[in-house]
Amino acid sequence: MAQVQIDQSLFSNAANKTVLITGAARGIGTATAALFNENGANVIIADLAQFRDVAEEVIKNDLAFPGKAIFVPANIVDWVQLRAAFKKAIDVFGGIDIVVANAGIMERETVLNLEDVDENGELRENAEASRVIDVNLKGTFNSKLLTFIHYLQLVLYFVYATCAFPDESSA
Amino acid sequence: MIDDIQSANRPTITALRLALFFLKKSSSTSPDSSKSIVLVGSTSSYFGGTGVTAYVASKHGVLGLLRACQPAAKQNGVRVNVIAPFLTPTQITVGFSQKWRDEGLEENTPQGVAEAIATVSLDESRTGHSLMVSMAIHGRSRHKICHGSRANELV
Repeated sequence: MAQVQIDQSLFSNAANKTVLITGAARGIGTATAALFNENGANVIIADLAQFRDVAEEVIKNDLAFPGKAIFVPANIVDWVQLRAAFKKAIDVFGGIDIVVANAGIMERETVLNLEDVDENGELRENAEASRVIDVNLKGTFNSKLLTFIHYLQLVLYFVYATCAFPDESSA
Repeated sequence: MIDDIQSANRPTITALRLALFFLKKSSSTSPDSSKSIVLVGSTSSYFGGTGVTAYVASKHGVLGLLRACQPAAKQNGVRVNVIAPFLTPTQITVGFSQKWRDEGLEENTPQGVAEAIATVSLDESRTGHSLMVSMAIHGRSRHKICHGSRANELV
């Protein structure tokens, strides 16, 4: 492993670049938006609509150049919303140079807890574990509606796969 | 709890795919036209001893994405790198962070991680790299230091 020294003189290269950061209303995303903006970059803070007030406070209080920042509400498990966020960024700033996919969430309960059984002694499904994978890696679940659509798609895919690739043993 | 989890959705494949498309398609807003994507991984992209099984699996997946996307990234003139922060106090490490501090250990700061993100996104020599950001090991020195490993050497 090589050690990398942070060279702060590199940051001036951020001037006039346009940077979209997902999940930037809080935490590492906010710090990243502040650093790029301080160095003259346009920043797009993409986060859930419910964080609009938080994001606007960040833009007002934490950014050196509030005029070079916008909040774009986007639930990014929703393909259409995230696509709209990119389009909005390009509309407002004229292009886009850097995207920071600021990753996610962590489970709060032990996934491999074998004591998590129902009244019949059967191991319960761990929905939280699936969600962590979906959020950090795939991003398929969001609302109950999307969950429903997801399952509907799975069923349709299963039907399709069954029709398209019939069991060889039955051929 | 589930609502909390849903509120922090940041699906990496979705973001990566859209980012590649729009970076390729859109113009640059600065004189140099270097385009780049940073995926935020974790030390859990490399190690698995912390017991947060799903998190570790998902973050290993982010490193897999980095490796798998390199041909498409190069073909489209976009650099893609990963930052792998060690424990950094944010909304997702509440509780865990306190135990860490109680032991007198030093955490990353979001600002330190942001500097690593800016570094890989702006340094045009970097693509396919993963930088592990570990203030806990070297935080007492006067400089912020990352441990870097070239993920593209591991592909």
